[in-house]
This record gives sequence, structure tokens and C-alpha cells, in this order.
Amino acid sequence: MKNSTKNTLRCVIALSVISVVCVALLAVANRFLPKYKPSLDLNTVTLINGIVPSGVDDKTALDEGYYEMLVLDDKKLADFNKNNRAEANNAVLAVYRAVKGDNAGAYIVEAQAQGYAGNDPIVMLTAIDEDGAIISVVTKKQTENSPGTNGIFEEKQFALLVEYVKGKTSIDGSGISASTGATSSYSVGGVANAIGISLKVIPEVKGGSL
Amino acid sequence: MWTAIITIVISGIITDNIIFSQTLGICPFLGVSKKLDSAVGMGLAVTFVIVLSSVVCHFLYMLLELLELTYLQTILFILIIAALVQLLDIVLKRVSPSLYTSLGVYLALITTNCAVLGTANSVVANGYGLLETFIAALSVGLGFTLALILMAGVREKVARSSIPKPFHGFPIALIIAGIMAMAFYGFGGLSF
Amino acid sequence: MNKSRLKDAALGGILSNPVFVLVLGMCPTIAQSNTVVNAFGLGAATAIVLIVSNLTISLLRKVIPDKVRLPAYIVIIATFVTLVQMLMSGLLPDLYSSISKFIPLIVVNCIILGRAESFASKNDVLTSTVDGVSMGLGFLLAICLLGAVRQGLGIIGLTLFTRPAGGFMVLGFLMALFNYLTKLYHDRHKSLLKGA
Repeated sequence: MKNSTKNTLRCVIALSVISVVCVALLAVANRFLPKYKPSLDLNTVTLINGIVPSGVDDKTALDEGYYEMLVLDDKKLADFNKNNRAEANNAVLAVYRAVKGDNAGAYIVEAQAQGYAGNDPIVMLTAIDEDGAIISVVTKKQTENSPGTNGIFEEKQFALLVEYVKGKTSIDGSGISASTGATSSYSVGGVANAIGISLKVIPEVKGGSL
Repeated sequence: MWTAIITIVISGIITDNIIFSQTLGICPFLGVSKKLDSAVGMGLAVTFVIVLSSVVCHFLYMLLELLELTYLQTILFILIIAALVQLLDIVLKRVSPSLYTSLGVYLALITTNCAVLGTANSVVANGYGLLETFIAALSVGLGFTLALILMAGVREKVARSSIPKPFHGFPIALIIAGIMAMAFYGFGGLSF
Repeated sequence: MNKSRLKDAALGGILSNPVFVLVLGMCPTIAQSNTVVNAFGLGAATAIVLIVSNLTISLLRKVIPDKVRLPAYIVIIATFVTLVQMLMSGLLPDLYSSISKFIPLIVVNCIILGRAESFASKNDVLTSTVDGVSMGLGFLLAICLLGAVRQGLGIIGLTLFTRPAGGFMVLGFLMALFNYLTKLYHDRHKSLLKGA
């Protein structure tokens, strides 16, 4: 009897010590390990300069600060993403603004959404004017490609998409399918979700609540 | 409200099927799909654990968010799942010995079934409410059972046909699974 | 320390390859081998967790009471997985965003718990670490091979193979090929012995 109590005690102590050490290790790591911050790199500037041209070339636009990344509160942005997501990893990643050049004042939102379940999330850049209407969109990253079909990322379909979204203040997947003829419903849904959450974030940014 | 729930059910069972589209839970899917009756048993046991653990993890995550300790998610979720499986083992043994003898063998395997942890992670990431969590977990479990039953039906037939020697066992099962997964793409409105 | 044990551990990654022979860790293997980069990222993360957890569990094998060994292993493995997750999201955000769903699932990868239970809990630190390195590299190699075949087929236009369905099929064929080659190897071994 006494022996079994001792054994149980030993088990409990060993398990507790291991758990406490592990949790402490994680707490320290969480505090001191570097956290990822998105930044405005040349690749992003090139894409943005393509949809809301500044009037100068990409390198100059980057070096002379034609676009800038808005500083958002990480915690508030996480809350916004949680309350407005259409599915799991649908999220606004960053918001940029054109501060100089031909399209000064425009907002550019970088947002991701899931397309086909096994693929990487689709990342879209959506340019939005000060009235909250879409100027244009461009894809930053996608792995949906299925050549030979009417996918939304095929050149012709994407051109129709850009035509369709211009001036819109809200968006839905069935509208995109109908106007572009794209048949891959998962990819279209991902594009619609990424643009949708981009439209929703602008009022919050302007209202100063992020 | 209703459309949201119907979407969750359809995508859980068919279009985002846990085996064929998300490729989670492959180990039990290959291991326990040789006979139809064991496939049904495993499917139901997994469904039960998925629902229970997703609901518990839903509340646990709310607590973690409140305390700003979300980095403990992985470690606590897997412990909760392991504890639930143990608890279920003990309770079933006492309450329903007949059910225990039919499920008992599979229970121990469920802790390391990544469909369980995967579903708990994804309902939390989706920010579902309690009802949605319950429905989503239930339909994922049913989707898993459906896949297992379909697979067992085919494998019982394949076992009696002659196939090249190197393909015996897992390789032929994987190829059948691939063909089935293609059939499931049809539900998603995809064209190839 | 046992020399032949050490040699067995070092060769384990190939002769009892976790993917092709032991058929462990199928889910991440199929899900994340759609491109070589994703396959390498997940394979490397899994290998690191496997090596470190084998080392730790072997170090603690005399301290952990037998009755609570499984929960203890799970806590240790989950801690390393979370550390890898934190490091990856901070340092390699691009790669992390494509494989983030499967990083926490390394915890339930049967390779890691399986090696902890059947090897690291019974062997000394050096042998266990060698086993971890060998098994980890075996897994990394298998998943990268699968990734290369699938991405290659995707590039020439057969995009079905970058989807899970293609993953199932390519893995099935590779496993059959592996079975065939090992059988050939064993047959030759046998006939050589006979000849001698």
C-alpha cells in the first residue's frame, strides 16, 4: 500500500516537473523569439505600381517613399480578422497607402484566403479609393493554376475580373463566376473572400479603430 | 443561419472530405479498411472522439485567449485528446462492455489520429460558435466514416483479384484511394 | 554501447524507411508534398523535432516513471513542435504560411511517438540520436522524392498530381517500386550467400 502511494507520488511529481519546465520554456520563447512583420519590398511595390501607378518607376517609388505601410495594432487587426473572416485563414495581412504620385490617397490592402483545400492560401492586393470603391486588383501569390481550364487566374479570365470589380464596394463569388466564366469554384471563392475582407478593413482603418 | 449550417455539413462530409481533400487521418484509413464491419466500428469511434474533443477544445481555446496563452494550444489540445480517449476507454469498459469489445481495439489508436487534432485546430481557427463547432465536428467524423466504408467495400473485392506482387497491401490501397479522391473532386465543381 | 545496434540505427532510415516500409506519417507526406519546397520545409521540421525529442527522451529515460511515460513523451514532443512553429513563423514566414496547418500536426505524426516509445526509451543517448538523424533523413528524403515527382508532373501539365488524389497515386506507385527493389536486393543477397 505504502509502496503504491510512493509510486503514484513519483509519477505525479515527474509529470508535473516536465510540464512546468516545458511551459516555462515556451513562455520564454514566446517572449523573446522574433515575430514576423510584413514589409513593403520591391516585389510588392512593383505589383502596387502596376494597379495604382505612381507615375515613376518601381525602384524610385520604393526609394522615395511613394507608398507607405500603415502601422496597425497587431492585436486589433487579429480581432478584426477573427470577426470578419469567411473561412479559416482568411485574413488582412497589411494595409499600404499611396502618399505621393498620380494616385495619392489610395489604399492598398494585402489579404489572403483559401482556394482549393490542399493549396497554399491565395494572396491578393486590392487597391481601394478614398470613397471605398475598388480601383483594381492583382494576385501576389497563388498555387491554384490548372492550365487549359477556365481558371480565374488565366489571363483572359483575370482581365474580366479586373473589369468586373472596378468601382464595386461589395463583392460575391457568384458574380465573379458569372462575369468571368471562370469554372474553378474554389479558386473563385478564395479570390472573392480575399477581396471581400479587404473592402471591410478600409472603414476601420479610416475610422482609426485599428 | 441555415445556409451556413448546410454549407458546413456538405463541405465536411463531401467537398472538403477529411481523407480525400484534406488528407488527414490516412493511417487508420489504410490500416482499418480491410473489412467492412471493423471500418464501421472505427468510423463511429473516431466520430465520437472528434465531436467530444472539438467541443472541449472550443471552450479551452476561449480560456487560452482570455489569458493570452494561445501558444500553449498544441500542447494542451493533444493532452486533452489523450485524456478523453483514456476516459472513454474506462467509461466504456464499465458502462457498455459489449460496445467496448467492438471498439476497444481502435480506441488506443485514436490519440495519434491526426484527423482529431486537425479538426480541433481548424474549428478553433475558423472561430466557430458552439453549435457550429458541434455540427462541423460531427460532419467531419461522418465524412471519415463514409470514406472508410467506401474503401473497405472496394478492398474486400480487390483482396480476391490478382494484382502484381509489389502492389500488394498498401500500394494498391493508396492507388484506389487516389481514384476515389478524383471522384470526390466531382462534387467540388472542379474541371480538369 | 553496442556497435551493431549503432550501425542498425544508422541504416534504419533506408532499410526500414518510415514512409515506404513502416508506412508511418502518411498524412503530412501526402498533404505537403505538392511542391519540393513545401515537402522540404515540413520534412526538415519533422526531422528536427524527431532528433531533439529522441535525444531528450533518451536522456530522461531513467527519470520518467513507466506508468506516465506516454503523457510525458507527448508533453516533450508538443513543446518542441511549438518551438519549431514559433521559429518558423518568425524567420521563414513565406514557407510557414503554406505549411502552417501541418506544423502542429507533427505532434501526432506516428514516426515521432513511435521512435520515442520503441527506440529512445530503451537505448543510450548516442544511439537514440543517431536513430533520430537516420529516421529523420529517411523521412525527409522520402517526402522530397514524392514532392519532386509530383511537382515535375504538375509542371508538364498534369496538375491532377499536385492535388491530394495525385499524391495518393504517386505514393502508391513509389511504394510498389520500393517493395520491388528491396525484394531484388534480398534475392541477390540470398543467392550470393548460397553461392558462397
